[in-house]
Amino acid sequence: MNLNIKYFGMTTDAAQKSAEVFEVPAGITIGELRNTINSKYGNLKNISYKIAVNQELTNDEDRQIIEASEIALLPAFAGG
Amino acid sequence: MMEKTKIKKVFREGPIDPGFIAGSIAKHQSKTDIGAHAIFLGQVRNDVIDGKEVQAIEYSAYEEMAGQAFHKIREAAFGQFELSCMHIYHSLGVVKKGEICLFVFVSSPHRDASFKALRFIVEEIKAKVPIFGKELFEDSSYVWKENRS
Repeated sequence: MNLNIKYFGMTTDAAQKSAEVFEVPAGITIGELRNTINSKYGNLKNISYKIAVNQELTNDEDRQIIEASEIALLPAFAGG
Repeated sequence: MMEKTKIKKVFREGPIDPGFIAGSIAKHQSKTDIGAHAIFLGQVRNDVIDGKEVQAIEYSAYEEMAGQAFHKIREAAFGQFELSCMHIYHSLGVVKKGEICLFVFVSSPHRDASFKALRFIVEEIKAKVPIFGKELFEDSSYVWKENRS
């Protein structure tokens, strides 16, 4: 299945882009996806970021992604 | 229920003009059940980081998620406080030091609700809305800003 990955804030610097598509096995967990992205872009390992699935933040690294979704990498917020 | 309520537009390109703020206040003169307005204005500060002075902040956002987050904050504030109305505006793009990047405007029959709601809304925005800021220096280098808790 395809995941539409969006990068925000300092994660855009690490990936050198704002979006791309990842092809991953259905059922991949958030933690596995994080490892996959971090191994592609080494600099991401030094950045603390949360992951949103279809615009909902998730803290559960064991949560499985079972269908094509929009994934966002969200570092510290800076609004206001 | 959530889907039926219109999500209000919060983001504005560039700084928030003081004239726009004055105009917003003037528009409320016809709403005579209001007894108290409370306003918060966020302004870009010239922090000095490693000896370099911040000249501007360039804001970006995960706009779809931010729209939902602002909507939830509005609903929560209306649920918790006796408010007549509420307006939130946040900048995207470049805002120079000294310019306004956030305008929160709450109105209530009485002052207590307006003060409490204002504080609640500003803290929620800082903690829960996916907005990102690049602090730009004169030599065109930058650092990413992080909100303090």
